[in-house]
Amino acid sequence: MIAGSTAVAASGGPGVLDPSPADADRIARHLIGEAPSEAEAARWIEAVRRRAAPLATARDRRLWELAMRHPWRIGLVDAGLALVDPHSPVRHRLFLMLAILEASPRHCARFLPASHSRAALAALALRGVAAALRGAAGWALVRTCGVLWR
Amino acid sequence: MTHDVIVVGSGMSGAHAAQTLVEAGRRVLMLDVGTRETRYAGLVPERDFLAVRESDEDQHRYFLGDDFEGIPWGPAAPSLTPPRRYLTAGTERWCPVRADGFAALESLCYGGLGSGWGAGCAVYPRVELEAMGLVPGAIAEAYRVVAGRIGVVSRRDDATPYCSEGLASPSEPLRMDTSIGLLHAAYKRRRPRLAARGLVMGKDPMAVLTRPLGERGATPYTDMEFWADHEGAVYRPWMTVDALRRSDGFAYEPGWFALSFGESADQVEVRARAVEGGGDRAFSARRLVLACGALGTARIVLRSLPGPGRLPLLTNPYAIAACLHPRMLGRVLERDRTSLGQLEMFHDPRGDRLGARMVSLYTYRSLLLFKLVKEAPLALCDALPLLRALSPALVLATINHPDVPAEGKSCELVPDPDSATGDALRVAWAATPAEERENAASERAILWGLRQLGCVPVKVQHLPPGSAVHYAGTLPFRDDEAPRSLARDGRLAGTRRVHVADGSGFRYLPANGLSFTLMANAHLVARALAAAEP
Repeated sequence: MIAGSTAVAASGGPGVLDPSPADADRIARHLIGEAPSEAEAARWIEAVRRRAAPLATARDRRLWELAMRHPWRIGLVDAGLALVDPHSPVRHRLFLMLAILEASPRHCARFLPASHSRAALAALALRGVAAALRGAAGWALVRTCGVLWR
Repeated sequence: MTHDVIVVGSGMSGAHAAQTLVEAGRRVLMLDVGTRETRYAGLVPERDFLAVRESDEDQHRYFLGDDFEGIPWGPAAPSLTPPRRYLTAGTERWCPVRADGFAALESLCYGGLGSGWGAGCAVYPRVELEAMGLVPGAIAEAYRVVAGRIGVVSRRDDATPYCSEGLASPSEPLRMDTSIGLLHAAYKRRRPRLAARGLVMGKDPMAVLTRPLGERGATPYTDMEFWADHEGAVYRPWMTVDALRRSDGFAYEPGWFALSFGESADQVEVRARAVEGGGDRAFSARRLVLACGALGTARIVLRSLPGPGRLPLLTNPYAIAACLHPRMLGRVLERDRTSLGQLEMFHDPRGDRLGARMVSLYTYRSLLLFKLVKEAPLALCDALPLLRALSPALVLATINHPDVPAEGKSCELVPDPDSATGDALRVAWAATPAEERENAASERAILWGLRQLGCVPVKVQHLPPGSAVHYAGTLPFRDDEAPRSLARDGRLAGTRRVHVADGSGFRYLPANGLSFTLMANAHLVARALAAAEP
């Protein structure tokens, strides 16, 4: 079952594959832990419509639905695609939001360089290890999506 | 007004040829497409990058573009920022290039590619000038003339024999930021060891003001050079054309794409097509100066003259090494800094300055973090904090190699019904196996040198040929009036009234940027033309 009540956009009509404000909210929270403003969400929807490649393959559609249905999986999907298919249209949608958030004064503190103490650098190194683990799990998810989850 | 000279193109060569001609009392008509930036002009505040980021609600318009054209996707490649995108507007329609893997970048805009250049003003060593077919003494004098016009800052250091010999700057060069300053200090400590491997470092002269000059102000160190022309501190050729347009004896005709020329007994006629509407018109004068860049001039010459259809072509092989500078971990770059190249390294494998490689060092901030995040093989949310911490420690080293003529480096016109001119330039360019070996050996030495400075190369990306945006050698200088060549004074062989003021004649392309030499050569071509026709 897919969240939302509309038909799947793969059939041509509006549906979960079309970008929505709720998607924008999920993605922004996933990327920086903050909600986008209405204007940023609208900007993202416009960017996806104008710039993102369509989710043309069954695997991309499935991964998108999976991520939007369970936001905690966005990171896994993203990490897996970063290894398996870094220029996937699914990842492109996430990337467009990242760019929009960065070019906004509301969120600039999340992007501008800041001094880091040694402890903070060590914490970042740990985060790097966690990212690698997420990458491994995501790789498995993306590889199996479309094979095991037909 | 009857014109003595038609100058085609408003870029570096055209602007300085025109200035010299006007100063010599000639009546000049400049033909140009002259595309202007209208969408983002005036949007970028005259504030520093951090202040803009922290306060400007409209920053997404110029950082990302109204059509989100500033958000790249796909494999990493150099791209123009939205406010600079107009540089290439119309080129696909008016001057298409057909090539496998050749990334040509041309401009039809007002001021040409100089509207987005990095401001490097290399003074080539005598041995390189001779290899190019230029006269060192004359060029040395022309360098000084052009430096006085555009404002060039330089200083004497270890790199002077490679890039600034004979250039006296009245003002101090651009400041280095903390990261580059640390690398420079490391270089000074390890100088003998690096010199033993043919590596020296210093600062390229730059056309950036550190003191006001005329209407232009000193650089405010806003770190916004990729987005705007704050204070007019970085020289742009349109500044010269703007000034010429206020003088008698100069007329500017925008909206015309020059197609071809023909000579009569006492005149030369340029056939041009209107960019809007497409009608053709002929412009006449006593002399013609082509200054459309090597590729643009090649098209006009190939359409105009009978003879061999294939021309040689030079371009610099180009790579970017992304390096980590661990001493900067945990630190941040200062607010007041420049986005431009801050320090150069030269690798001189033979020790004779001919064929030296040029490396320019940049730190990274004002091109925004998301472009870096995309390149990490991690989830974007994981890559963001890591790269945010690492970005002040990132040093980008652009590596330029020289080029010489060889089989497999050429261009020719081919029919193309989709283009506004009915033709396209087909380009083939491949380094010879020997060149590839030499370039690889040189890159190994350069990366070794960077490691010696405490800068760890993590990734080297070889960009497609043409990416360096330096093209030359299509009509090489010769003394025998051979077809498709230039006399030393820039006159096109087989013509009496047609002169070429861009880099078409250069028989060798040094690794360091050719812009300053383009302007100096254009001055000399114009001066010779003025002297020949009092």
